[in-house]
Amino acid sequence: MNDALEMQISAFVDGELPDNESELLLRRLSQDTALRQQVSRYLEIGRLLRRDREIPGMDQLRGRIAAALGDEPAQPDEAQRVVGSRLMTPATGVAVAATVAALALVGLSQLEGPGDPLLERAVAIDDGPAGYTEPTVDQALAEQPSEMLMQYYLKHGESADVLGPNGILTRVVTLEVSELVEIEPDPHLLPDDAADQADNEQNSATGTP
Amino acid sequence: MIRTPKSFRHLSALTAAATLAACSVTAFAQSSPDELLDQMNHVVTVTDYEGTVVRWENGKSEALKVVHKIIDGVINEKLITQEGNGLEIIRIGNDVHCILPDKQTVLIEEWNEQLTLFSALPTSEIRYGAEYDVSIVRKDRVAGRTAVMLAVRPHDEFRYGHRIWLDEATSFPLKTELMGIDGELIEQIKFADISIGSNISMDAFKPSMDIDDFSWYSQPAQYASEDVETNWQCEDLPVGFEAISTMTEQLPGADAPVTHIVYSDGMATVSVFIAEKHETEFVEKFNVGASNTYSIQQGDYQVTVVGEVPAATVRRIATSMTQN
Repeated sequence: MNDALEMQISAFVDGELPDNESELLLRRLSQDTALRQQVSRYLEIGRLLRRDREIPGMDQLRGRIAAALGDEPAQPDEAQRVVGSRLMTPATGVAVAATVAALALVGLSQLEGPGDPLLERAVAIDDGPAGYTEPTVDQALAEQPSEMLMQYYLKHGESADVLGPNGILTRVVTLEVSELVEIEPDPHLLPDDAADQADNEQNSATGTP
Repeated sequence: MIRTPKSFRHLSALTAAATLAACSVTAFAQSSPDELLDQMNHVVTVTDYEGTVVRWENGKSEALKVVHKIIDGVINEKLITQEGNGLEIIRIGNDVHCILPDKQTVLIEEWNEQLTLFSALPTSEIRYGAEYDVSIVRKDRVAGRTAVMLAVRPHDEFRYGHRIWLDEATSFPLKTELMGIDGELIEQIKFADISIGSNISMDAFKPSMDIDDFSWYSQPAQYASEDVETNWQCEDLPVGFEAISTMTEQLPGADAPVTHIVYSDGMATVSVFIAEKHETEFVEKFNVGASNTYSIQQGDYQVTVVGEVPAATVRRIATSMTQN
């Protein structure tokens, strides 16, 4: 399998393949056993990495897709396996496509909404029955970087401004750690009557109220 | 601050409106992904907008009210956090007022660059090589508007992917996501509601509270960074990254200046800090949202790498820094 095809499959599994390319890939999947096995491996890896669980309503979704394609609804266990013995024959190619599409939807739905790592972490430190546990102050503080690392982080944020991401968290942190010098208030720097005047003039020029 | 330097040029509201109209639905059908990125980057520099932005990172979300207006090429922007301490940031040109209601404080800053809300937006120009693919994925709905989703996918595990939802009518970015190598969501910034090209009064940029009795502060003069030559280099730099600057920096609390090398692949940025070694040897790893850090001793020096890249990338760079 060449790199381009591998990337295409990866994009498809992630739900990031354009519709027209997805259609072509599904058609190809229905005719290529090796390719189906590759997709199966990608889906399984993704499922394990994301700790997929059965999604509520998934059975109905599979049923609808299968029905739309004129096939029997797939059983949940069979669908999760994606490539089973019955999928090795060309006659069931459409069913393969439906199942792959259904699982791709599962992947997408799990990527759409952010999870709750805090909750997971809290549960992880609780040996009792699963449930929400507030992290202690010590645990929260233990997650803070050292002072020097924080300085590096801020300095990197300044240089990254030139090229890329920087978050509002950086701004808030800057406010907290900076050594400040008290100055005389200078409200004139803020929008004032003169600015209002300019605003009015602009509105008059553009005919807006 | 969610911000990025962009070269803002003066264009009237009328021109902006014309631009918005030009980027119509049919444009999406005919434009390549790279052209859409260019349209997006142009639109964010000429468009007035106001709305509510929700930012999610590291399991936490925060909402911000945002107002943005350009008058004669000057950026006027106001951000108000809707949670926590109610931080309010008002920017008129390069003058920035950070108002902290809980501390009854106004902090004055001057931003040298033309920074705005949009920071993580890729452009077609800055992708140095073939480290990313861009494709148009599907239509979606964001902030009550029809959007077209673009995916910027890295070719390897050393950088993050991006998803961008562009307003179908204007090419304005309504939502962005940073995606990890396993497809996990790392950071999401999206408009919950937005009004694009709206007529915004300058009243919107006044403080939303009485600040007459607030104390005012400014930051002391900063140590000026100096460009320098260095004999440090990375022996195992991931493909596509290039050293774009080398400086010395004097950090608060540090005895001596540190060497700061910045690497970039055009989208992701990585900083390498080289300082005299600490008294005790240590290896430190840390993660804040999309940023990862890795610090390790190399000979007589402490090498610390920080960047909006996966943990494996900062580790690889830190462990392969050598001195000629």
